[in-house]
Formats: sequence, structure tokens, C-alpha cells
Amino acid sequence: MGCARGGRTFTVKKGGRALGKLRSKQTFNRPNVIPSGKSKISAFQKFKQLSNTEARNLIRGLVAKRRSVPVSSEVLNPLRQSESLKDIAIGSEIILGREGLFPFPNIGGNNDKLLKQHGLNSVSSESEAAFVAGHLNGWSEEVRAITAALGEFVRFPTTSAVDAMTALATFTDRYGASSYVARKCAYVMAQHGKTTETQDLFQRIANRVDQSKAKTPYFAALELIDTDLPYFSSVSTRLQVFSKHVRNDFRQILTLHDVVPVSISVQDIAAFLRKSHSCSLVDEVAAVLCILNLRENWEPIAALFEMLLDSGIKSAFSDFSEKKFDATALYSDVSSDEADFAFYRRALAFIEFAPCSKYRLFVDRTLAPRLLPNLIGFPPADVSDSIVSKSDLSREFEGFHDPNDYDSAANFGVFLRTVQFLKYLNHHKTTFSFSSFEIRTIFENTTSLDNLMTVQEIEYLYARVDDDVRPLMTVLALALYKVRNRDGDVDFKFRAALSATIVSQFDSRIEAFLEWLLPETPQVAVYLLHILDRQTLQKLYWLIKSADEADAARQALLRVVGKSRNEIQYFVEADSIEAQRQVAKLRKYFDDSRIYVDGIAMTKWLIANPNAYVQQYMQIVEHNIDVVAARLMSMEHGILFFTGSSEVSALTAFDYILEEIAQIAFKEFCTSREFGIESYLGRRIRHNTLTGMLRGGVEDIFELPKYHALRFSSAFVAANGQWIKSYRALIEVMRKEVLQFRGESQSKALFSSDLRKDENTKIAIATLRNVLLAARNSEIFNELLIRFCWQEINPQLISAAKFITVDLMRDAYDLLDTHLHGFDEDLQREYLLEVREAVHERFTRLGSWFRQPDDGFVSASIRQLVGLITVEADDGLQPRNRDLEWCGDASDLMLDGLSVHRMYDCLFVLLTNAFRYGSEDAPVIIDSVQIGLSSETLARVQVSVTSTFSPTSDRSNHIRRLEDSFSNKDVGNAMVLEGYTGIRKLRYISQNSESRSTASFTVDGDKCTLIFWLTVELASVEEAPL
Amino acid sequence: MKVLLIEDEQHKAIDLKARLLEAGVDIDSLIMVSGVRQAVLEVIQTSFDLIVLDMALPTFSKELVESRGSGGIAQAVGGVEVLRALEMRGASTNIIIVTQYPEIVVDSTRVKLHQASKLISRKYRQNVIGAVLYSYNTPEWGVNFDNLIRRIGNQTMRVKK
Repeated sequence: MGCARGGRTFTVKKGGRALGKLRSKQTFNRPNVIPSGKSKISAFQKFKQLSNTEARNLIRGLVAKRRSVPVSSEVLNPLRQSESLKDIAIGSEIILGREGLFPFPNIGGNNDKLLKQHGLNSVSSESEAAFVAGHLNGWSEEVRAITAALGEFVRFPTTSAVDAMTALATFTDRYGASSYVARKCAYVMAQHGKTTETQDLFQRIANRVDQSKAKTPYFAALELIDTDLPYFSSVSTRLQVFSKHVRNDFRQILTLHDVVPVSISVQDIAAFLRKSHSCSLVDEVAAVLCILNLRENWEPIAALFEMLLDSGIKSAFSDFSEKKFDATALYSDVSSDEADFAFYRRALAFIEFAPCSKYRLFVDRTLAPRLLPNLIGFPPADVSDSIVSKSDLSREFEGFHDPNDYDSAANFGVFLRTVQFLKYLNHHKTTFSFSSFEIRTIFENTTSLDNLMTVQEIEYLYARVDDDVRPLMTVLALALYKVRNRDGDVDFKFRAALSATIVSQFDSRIEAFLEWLLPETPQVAVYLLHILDRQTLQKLYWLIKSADEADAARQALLRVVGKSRNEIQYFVEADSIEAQRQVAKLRKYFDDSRIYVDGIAMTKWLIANPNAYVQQYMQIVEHNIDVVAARLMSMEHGILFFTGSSEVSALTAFDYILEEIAQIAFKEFCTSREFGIESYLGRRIRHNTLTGMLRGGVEDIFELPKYHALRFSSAFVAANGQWIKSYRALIEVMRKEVLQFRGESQSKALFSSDLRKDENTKIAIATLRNVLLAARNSEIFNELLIRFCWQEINPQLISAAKFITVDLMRDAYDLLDTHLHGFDEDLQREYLLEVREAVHERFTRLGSWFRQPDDGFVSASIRQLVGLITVEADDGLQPRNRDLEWCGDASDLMLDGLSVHRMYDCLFVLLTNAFRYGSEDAPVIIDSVQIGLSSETLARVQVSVTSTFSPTSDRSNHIRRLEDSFSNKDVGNAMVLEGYTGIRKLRYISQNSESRSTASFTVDGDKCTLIFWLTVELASVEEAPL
Repeated sequence: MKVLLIEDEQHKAIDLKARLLEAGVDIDSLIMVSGVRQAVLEVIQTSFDLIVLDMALPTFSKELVESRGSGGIAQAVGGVEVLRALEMRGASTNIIIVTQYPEIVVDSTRVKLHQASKLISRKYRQNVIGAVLYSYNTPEWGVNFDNLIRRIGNQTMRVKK
């Protein structure tokens, strides 16, 4: 077949509208075979056989222009519309055959050719069959050789992987790329892909067909054939991606053509043949063999081939049909329940063999219109021939065994029962009804109905079923809408219906409903468990009163199913929710305390830093300033009236001193690097969690499997990249400029350490003065001052929360709209909505941090704090499973008071360093032990966190960074400046707590350990843990 | 006039309550809720002459004891759940939407506030009187809100006559 190479390349013009990149150019390789004198005679003889004048004139014109005009679909299309099928066949041969005017063998191409859309016009299936028959006749020798080679593949499923791939590689060397080869390759790789020998052969084939430039033919087939990959969601994704490119028929797009690899009606034969003809001669031959396999469905088309094909080809086809293909080998490795689905998927690679093409036709004429709604522009072949009864649909089955007996209920697997159920619904339209037993059995023994049933069918079924089956239908209906995820209104309707069912029939207990489902319909129960995730549970307003209750309900459901099925995985998930609940409680405490001031440390500071104002003022207070009476007067119409009397303290006159005291205290309260708000704003918001919290769960929405289809639009990917970039920039502005205290260089800062001196300040000062006067006790003065400071900062916190949840959130929305405005496809809009929801949730959470902390402390263990920090470090949609190893006796010691805060801050530094710079493949080791001091209320705990340098990490840089951080003397600034690692914060906190820094590090080989110790307050034994 | 005020942000709720009382709404006829769940259950059980509706809401009212301080999922268009509940119940109610954002998302599509009333009225079979863009630092929204309240007052009067 060397003739196909090195020939002149010419372009086929395409009629109709432009179809974008996919059909921008279609080329044919013209062989170097120039018709000889003999072939001219042969062509002339053929020419004489043309009966139609128009066809003759067309050919005459082509002969005249042959040297100057390239052949194109525009040239071929008039011939294809000829009324005489025989003329079409002869014309096709004269133009495209080996001896023709424009020889077109369609052999030896690369993969990219399979993806190009052809420009042939739509004609009847008979005309298309005639056109293809003529083309095959024109390359009779090659067609016979290909048919013989295809016959050799009859033992493919039972041959060793290496032998199969060797044969395929040899075939590809000779005939080049074809959809046929791509599917066969996918089959072998799905079955035996991990062996080295097949990898080498696979690479040989990939190189031959230039797969690196056009991967789709192979991978599209692999997705459909490999039973380890999801099927229906994959089809749904490709439909979303490619349906917009469909202009004439869906078969123009190879990935959609693969979904329905046999023609499903007489009308479909035309598109089926056109696509195969445009792909390769190999595909054209395989397509005709497939059609002939199904001749009982379209006898006239088969008869036409019989009439038009030359005798040599017919003989080769006849020999091929005698081959005995062992279809059972395609599913012998799968259980009989699932064999019918495995057979269906793998049959894609063998449609030239009768058992496979017949089975695919049987199933696809029911499934194709459901999988590719709106793309099947013709009614599928009549499917009423093999409708099983309701009793057959709900009877026990033995599983799939016989590849030729697919319409017998005794031979059903789960997949075939599903197909038969859909056929039943198709056939009975709006007249079907099912008993409770039937519906339960059918739902329990079918698959993917959420993808396959239409909305009308589900609604009709829901309306028609008896009350005792309605719960089941509600589950299915809810699942259907969740899977399609299109209509929130309908989702609400079925959430309400499900809740109403559970309220009325199961005493409002969701787990009771699940217990009812489990004995007879365990699959449905598991399905319900799947759809009732924590979010959906929260939205069952009629049943669930709180987020906590939703979590508890989810745990209960998991345990009920786990117990019934005796499977540990459900218990593991339930336990993990419990752990998350505990962490969530701790997190809520820390979220409520992110704005914090260490009151004890501030009191110490106030005592250690007395100023003249305080001393003077306290002297005045302690020297019994008298209360004086004041007369209250008012003036009306120029006349002064006495309206009453009031007691006014003479101390009021000294409010200006108190104001000075308050200002000094407030400045320290706000900006102290040791205990002030600025230090917590720095360590608990700007440095630790702000970026992770705002980005996690927002940016990674794009990575969710349901949005994979979005990646196929480069414009959308680029726009999304721009939005993420701008969103990150917004967060950086928030971090560096907005969530700061005002200063010369911080004009956008939200906070000020100056007293506002407004009404709020005056009232707070008056309250401070009056309480002080009443107590006449200088010892409580410092405590009152701190309370005043909280009162003074409170309006700023409220204002900051508003600014974040309104203005900054609006900025984030605007960025989203700026970059992604105009992308209006369903999935794109769904994505935008989800991102918007996530942005809303994150900014709402951030806003909630700006509040006065709750009074009191919470107890927590080191293990719980590590749990919280791990969650915060992975604050995304798909948290990583951190491998943690625990050592020592102190991990479950319950800490209390400020110790919890200090331990959290120190652990955060150690763990985020370990997660960020350590190897993901090695566990992080947390060792916590009690050292030295120990009493009922106090203990000294040493914590070390060890991580492993990854092989690729820049170890010397990390070590130098640690050395720098540990040797830097300016640790004071560490609390407010966002440093590289937080090590200086660790040193500062431990120094502040223990009067000297207790932090250090060691490097031993590839292990790096960070260590600190703290004296901690212990929770009393009676105190309940979180 | 029986009024349901659905608003989770305290400062906004205080402003709106003050305006409603000033417009003559009886304090005993005013019910305030701050979460989607509470609002949905309320509109299913009770008929209101007016619902003042915020769109972005937490799932649960944080103030309620059973919520234990957690609002659950923050629903960016939680107000739509209330509209769905009203439609499900078959009740058509006067509604004023009060939001801090210039657009509302309906059917995954952003809709300008001035277009939202018609669209939502038609889609959920409600009588959306208008949508007000609330701003915590400028007072203009109040005038718009008062005008809408007056319009409902006039309608109610006409119905009574």
C-alpha cells in the first residue's frame, strides 16, 4: 500500500456552513498510480454503463477538468443525488477507484483524519450504500485483503495480549489509522494495559498513526470500553462537550459516533456509512460487514450491496461471515450479573462480528435516543418486537450467559433488565403502572435509571404509583434531578416530597425509611444514602433542625447501612464525620476567637507600664470625690424652667484624663505585637488561614469531575484562569492592605487604633468612670479598661464584617462577572453559580470572624488541635488524606484556658511547615510527651513534628531558611508580619509563655524535626471534653 | 398587615424593622426570621400580607437554641427556597426583595434588580412589588423601600374597600 504515500495532496472543498476547526480542512492522499491506457479503457467501459445523462455529463466534465480541478465533495455531491443507484455506484468507482479519475484508497492515514468532518451531503441510505459499494469496487483488491485480515482477528479476544497487539501493529503498519484499530487497541489496553510488552507495541501503533497529535480516537474508545471507567457519566460529559459541534448528524463527530457504533435505523445507515467512508477504507469495510450482519433489519439495503458489490468482494464477505466469533470471551471474566454490560461495552471493538453488532443494535436502539437526546433526528427502529412482560421484568434472573439470547428474561443481567424496563416504558408510553412488588424488584435490579429515564417518565411514574411505593419513587426522582442537576425548583419539589413521605410514613425518622428499604431493596437504600449527603440533609427543612442534626442523621444512616450490609466502610465514614464534628466545634470556637486579645498578658502590661495619667486619676478616685447635685433646666420661649435634679459626679470633670488613659490602653490593645488584636489578626487570619480559606473550595470547583467537560473550551479555560488570577489578587489586597491597622502606608486599612471619640466612645468612657466610682477600687481598673477597649473596637469589627460580606464580596462577584460573563452554556452557568455560592459562603465565613470573642475558654487536646489544623491546611473540596503518625503520652491530654490558644498557634506553625515542605509520601510524625513539671492543673508538654524531605526538595535551602529563622533576633515583629514560615512566631509565643524561646529544630538525614515545649493548663477531670 | 421579615444580618434587620414599624406595621403582626429553614416552615404554615425577603441567607437561624450558633450552609440564593415553598403551598403573597447586590441569580442566570420582580412574580406565581438595593452606608434605599410599602398599603386599602 505504499502507493498511498508520497502522493500529491489536495483539498476537498466543503459545502454548507463552516464547522469550525473540526472541519476546517479535509485532505485525501492521492496515490502515485496514474491510470494506464488499459485502465482508461476500463473506465470507458464503466462509463458506458451509466444510464443517466446527467451522470454521464458530470463524469465528462470531470474528465475535462481533471488536470486543473481537485476533486471535492462539491464535485461528488451531484453524483450522489442521482436517481439511479447503479449510476451512483459506477460513478463513485469511476471517480474514486484505483483506475478512476481521482483514485482515493483512503488507506495509510493518521489519527487526525478520523476526527475531520466530511463535506458529503445527506442522501438516502440506499444512495449512500451505492456510493460506498462503488468506492469498494474501485479498490476491490484492497477490500478483499482487508476483509481477510479482519477475519484473522476472529480469535482476538482469546489471543494473548502480546499476540493481539502484534497483529494489530502489523495491520496498522499496512493500513494506517482507522477507528477500527483505535477501538481494538482500546480493548487490549483496557484488558491487559499494564504489561510492558503491550506498552511497547502500543507505542509502535501510536507512532504510526501519529497519536500524539490526535489522541481522541483511542481515548474516546477506551472510555467506553474499559469497564473500570464510569460509562454513563462519561457519555454525558462528551455529549455536553461535543453536541454543540453537531451540524448535520451526530456521526460526524467520532466521539459521538463511537457511542452508537451500529446504525440503529434504516435512515441512520446513511450517516453511519458516510462517517465510515470518510474515516478509512478499513472502517468502510467494517461498516458494510456490520450492516450485512444486521440484514434481517434492513433487507433492501443488504440486497443492494449484494447487487452492487463485485463478486470478489462478495465472496470475501461471505468467507468472513463464516468465521465463528466467540463472543462469550468478551465477558467471561465478569460475574453473570454484570456480564451483559461488559459485553455491551466491549462489543464496540468487534462490531464487524455478528453477535456483537446484533447485541449492540438490540440495546442501542433503546439507549441511543436517551443517551443522545436531540441528536437522533430519526425514530429508532421499531423496538416493540421484543417487549417483555411486567412479570418478566420483576422475576428472578440467572444472569447473562448466552450472547445470542438477549431478549429472554432468564438471561438478564442488571443491564439488560434496565434496557428491557426502558423498552417497556417506551412501548407503553403513558399507560404503564406497576405494583409495589414489581417496582421494588425492578428498581433494585436495574442500573443508572437516573441517567436513562426521561423527566416525563419519572414524573408520570411518580404520579401513578401506589402510596406504599411512593417513597421509592421519591428517592429515584430526587436522584434523577440531582444527577442532571439542572433545575433547583424540581429538586426542591422532591426534597419536599421525600420529607413528606418520611414524616407521614416513618415518623419523621430518615433512618427508619432506610431500614424499611434495606431488606428488600438494599441497592435503593445505598442509593438514597449516596444522594443524602450532608448538604442535602440540611435542606430537608421539614426533618432536620440544625447543621449538627444533619451530621448526626448522616452518621445514623451510614451506621444503619453498614450494619445491614456488614461493611466496615460505612462505619469508617460515620466515625470520620464524628471526628469532623468535634473538629468543627473546635473550629467554631477558634473562628469566634480569631479576633482576640490575651487579657492576662495585657493586664500584665498595664501593671508593668503605669503612666502619669493613671496614677493621677486613681488618686482622684481613691480620694472620695463627692457626688454633687445638679439642677436640670430647660428653656422654652425664652423662659428658663426648672425640670428636676440629678446627681452628677465631680469626677466627670476629669474625663479628659480618663480619655487619655483609654487612648493609651486602646492603642496597645489594638497594636501590641505580643497580645493585641494586630498580633492575632496577623497570626490567625492574614498569615494562617485567610488565603487558604478563601481559595480552597472556590478555585478547585473547576477540578470537580462534573466540570471536566468545561476543559474542552480553551476560551473558557483561559477566562477561568484570568478570574482565578484576579481573585487571588483581590485576596492579596485584602491581606496586605485591607485587614490591617491604619498607618501612613495603609490607607485602605479597615482598623484604627485611635479612639473614635463619638457617642459610642463617650458612653463607654462614662460607663468606665461610673463603674470605677462605684467600686472605688483601683484593682479592677485594668479589667475595666480592657472591657472598654472591646466596647470601643466593636463598631470597627461590625463595620469590617459588613465591608467584607457586602463590598468585598461584591468585588469578588464583579471579578467573576468580568471574566466569565458571556459563557452561557448550561454547564458553564452551573459552574458559575456554584463558584458564586462558594464565594458567598467563604466571604460570609470570613465576615463572621470579625466579632468579639466568646467569653470563656474551650478545652482541647493536641490531637483535636492537629485535626483542626489539618482541616484548615486542606480547606478545599477534595482534602488530601494526610498520613499522620502519633507518638508519646500527651496527645490526648485535655488542655484549657490560654494554653489551648498557644498550643494551637505553635502547632499551626509546625504542621503547615511539615505539610508544605515535607514529602507527601512519608508520614508526618507528631510526638507529644509530658516533661518535668506535672500537677493536677499544670503540665509541661514537649511537642515535636517530624517530616521527610522529598527527593526533589531543595534541602539546603530549607535548612538555611530554618537556620535564619532561628537565628533572627527580631522576633517581636513576627506576630504582625507575615513571614516565610512562621518560625519566629513560634519562638515568640514560646518565649512569651516560658520567658525564653523553647523552640528548636534538628535535621537527621532526610528527616527534619521542629520542637517546642510549653507549660500548659490542664482541664479539670470532671470537665466534659468537646 | 401581617408581615414576615426574612433577614439574617442584624443591622439590616434592625433598619428594616424600624421602617416597617414607621410605616404602621403593628409590632405584634411582624414576625422576623433569619434562616431559610425557619422561613420556609413559616410561609408553609402562615399566610402573610407582606414578606420582606433577603436572598442570601444561612440555612438555619443562628439565634435558635437548636442551631447551636451554626447557620449551616450559607445559601447565596436561599431566598428562592422561600419562593418555592410559597409556590408549592399555592399561596400568592406580596413580596419586597431587599438585597445588597445589584443582581439576583434566578435559574442560574444573573438578573438585574429592576427586572427581577416581573421574572420572579411570573416564575413563582407571587406578587413581587419590587426589589430594593440595600446599602448600609447610604440612606437612599430607605426611600425606595418606603415607597413600596406605601404601594402595598394602598393596594390593601383598595382590597378592603
